Amino acid sequence: MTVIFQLLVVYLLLLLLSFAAPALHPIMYTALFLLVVMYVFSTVFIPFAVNVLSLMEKLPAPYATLLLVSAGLYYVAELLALQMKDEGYGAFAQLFQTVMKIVILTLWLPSIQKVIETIHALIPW
Amino acid sequence: MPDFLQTLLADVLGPFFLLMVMLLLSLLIDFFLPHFQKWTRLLLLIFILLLLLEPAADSFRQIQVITHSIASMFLGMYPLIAAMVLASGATFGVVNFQPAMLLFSQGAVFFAEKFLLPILMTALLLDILTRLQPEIVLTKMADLLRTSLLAVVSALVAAYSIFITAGGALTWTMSGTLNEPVKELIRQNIPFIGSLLTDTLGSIGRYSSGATAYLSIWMLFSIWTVALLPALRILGIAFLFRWTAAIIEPFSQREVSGLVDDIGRTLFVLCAISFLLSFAFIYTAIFIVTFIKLMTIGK
Repeated sequence: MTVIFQLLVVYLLLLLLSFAAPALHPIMYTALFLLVVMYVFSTVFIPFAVNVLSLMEKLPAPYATLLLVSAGLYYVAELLALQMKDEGYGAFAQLFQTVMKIVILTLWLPSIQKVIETIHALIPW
Repeated sequence: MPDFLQTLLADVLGPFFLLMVMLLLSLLIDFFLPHFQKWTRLLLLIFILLLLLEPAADSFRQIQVITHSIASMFLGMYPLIAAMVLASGATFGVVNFQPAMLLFSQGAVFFAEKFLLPILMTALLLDILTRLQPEIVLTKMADLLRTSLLAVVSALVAAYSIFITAGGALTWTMSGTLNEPVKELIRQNIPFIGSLLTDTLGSIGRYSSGATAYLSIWMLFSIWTVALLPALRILGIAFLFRWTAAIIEPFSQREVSGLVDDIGRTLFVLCAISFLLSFAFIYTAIFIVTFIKLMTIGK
C-alpha cells in the first residue's frame, strides 16, 4: 500500500523537477525511474511471484517457473523499452525488446526440443 | 492394494489436473500482461504436448506392439493350423470352421499394422500442426483421414458379421432382444465409434456364443478380458481427453481445448482399430481352443 504513495510522491517530484530544471530532467528521470523500478521489484513483484509459485508447486518442475519468469522478463523489457522511447530512442528500444524475446526463447529451448522428440517418436516411418 | 490403485489413478488423471492448474496460472498472467498472450499460448501447447501426448503416444505404442506380436504369431502359426486342419479331416467338418475366415481376421491385423496405424498417426500430427500454426489449417485433411479410417474399419467389421452368419454352425444362441437396449445405450453415448462398437461386440458375441458348446464360460470370459482390456483402457483415456476439453473450454484459449479434443477424437479411432485387433485375437484363441478340444475328444 505504501508503495502506491511512494510512487505518487516520485511522480510529483519529477513534475516539479521538469519545471525547475528542464535541462536536468532527462537524466534525473532515467535515474529515478531505474531506482524506483528496482525498489518496486524487490518489494512487490518478487514476493508476489514467489507466493504464486508456492501455490503452484505441485506442477512439474520447469513449467510454472518458466511461465512466470518469462512473463516477468517480457514485462521488464516492455517497461524499459517504453522508457527508452520516452527519451526518443525508439530504435534502441526495439532492439532491446527483440534481444529479450530471444533470451526468453532460449529459456524455452530445452522444452521445445523435448516436444520435437515426442512428436518424432510418433512418426511411424 | 489401495496404494497401487492410487498410483494408477494418479498416473492417468494427474496430467489432466496439472493442465487445469497450469491454465489457471496462464489466465493470471494473461490478466496482467495481455500482450504476452501469444507466448502463454505457445508455452501451454508445449506443456500439453509434453504432458498429455505421453498417455496418447503410450496407447499408440501399446497397440503397435500388440498388432506386431499378433501378426508375427499368425505368420508362425498359420501353416501349422492348416496342416492340423488337413490332418484332422472328418473331425473338423463337424465345427464347420472356415480357414479362410482365420486368414481374413489375421489379414486385418496385418492391414492395421501396415496401413491403419500410420494413417491415424498422420492425422494426429496434422492436428498438432494445425494447433501450433493456426494460420495453416489442416483440420479437414485430418478429419478426412479419420473418417475414412472409420469407414475401412466398419467395412471390415461388416465383413466379419457376413462371414460368421454364413458359417452355419456358429449360430446366434443368446437372446437378441435381451441386449438390444444395452446396444442402443452404447451407440448413443460413445461418440464416433458407438455403433461400430456394438456391431463388433455383436459379432464377437455371436461367434463366441456358438463356441460355448465346446468351451466353459470362464474360459470365454478370460479370453474376452485379455482381448478387450487394451481397447477399454484406450476408450477410458479418450473419454478423459474429451472431458478435459469440455471442462477447460470456457476459460482456455481455443487452440488449447481444441488440441485436447483432437487428441481425444484420434484416440477414439485408435480404440476402433484396437477392437478389430481384439476380435482377431478372440477368433484365433477360440479357434485353437475348440480345435484342440475336438481333437482330443476325437482321439
